[in-house]
Amino acid sequence: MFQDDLLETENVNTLKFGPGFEEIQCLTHTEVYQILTSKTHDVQRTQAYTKTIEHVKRFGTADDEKHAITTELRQALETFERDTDQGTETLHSYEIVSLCNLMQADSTVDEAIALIPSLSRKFKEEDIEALLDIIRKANAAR
Amino acid sequence: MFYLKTLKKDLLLEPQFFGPNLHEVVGRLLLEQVEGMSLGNDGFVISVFSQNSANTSMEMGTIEYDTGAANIICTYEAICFRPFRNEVLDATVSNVTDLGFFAEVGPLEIFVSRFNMPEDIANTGYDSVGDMWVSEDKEVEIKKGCGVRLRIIGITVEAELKAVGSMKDDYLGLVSAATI
Repeated sequence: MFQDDLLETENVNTLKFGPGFEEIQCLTHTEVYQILTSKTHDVQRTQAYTKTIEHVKRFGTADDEKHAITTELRQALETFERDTDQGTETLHSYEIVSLCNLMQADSTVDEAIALIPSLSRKFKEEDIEALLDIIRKANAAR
Repeated sequence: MFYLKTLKKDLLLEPQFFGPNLHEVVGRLLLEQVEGMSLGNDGFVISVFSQNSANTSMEMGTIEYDTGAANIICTYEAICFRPFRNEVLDATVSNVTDLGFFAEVGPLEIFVSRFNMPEDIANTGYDSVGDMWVSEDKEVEIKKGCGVRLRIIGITVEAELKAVGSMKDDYLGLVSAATI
């Protein structure tokens, strides 16, 4: 099954998102909530909209009025880079968002690698621990 | 995965709307036709960004010969949602059956069959009285309103975007109890 990973056009474990999604700009739950609630024009209350708001409120940190923390976290993860044998590795948009959405205060490096396998191909364990630290600090500051 | 995408839409504007408020009418028409809809491979459009952002534009296309309506090509930015293979998501359980359960992530419905559940839950089986799946040690109960973490294993992009998920791997499963 893992050999198929290399042949498919769509598989997030190898950061392949299919045609048209090469430069995908992903959004975390908190960011989606902030954008949707900051709309000034009349939003059509479609079912998709209502369900999305409920979802990101439940699984994101919705009571964060401090947009600055979300922006800082996003910047810290976007500028995170490490020099490896393959060159300088940075985080893909999908990896940044998955880390923010899924990692909690008690998450371990093993959990991060199990849920986001593409990380283990790029970074060593200490680097992943550093990433989890950045997220823990940001969440503690909320 | 929620993401930002720049999309194009062809709108047909009837001659009765040709006037000073043309831009507003086109904006409104765009929202009506696109928001909340599933656009196949591009996913669900959750919300269109305001018309004044940098990537939006309206190009006047041609006038249709038969109806006199104008074909307008709108470029707009929107928050979209689409599942990707092997992605890990948190979802809310919406419906429980003896074959498995349905969970929702925003507008998307994901089905997790009993064969994609951990053995200790799938073997004990479905509790039809409580309408839930229970694990052997009775610690884990999957019922309506629970939060579950699952991995997307398959997607269909036909009339409605639908997905199939699995809870079998490590670190997947129940994350929060029912809120209802």
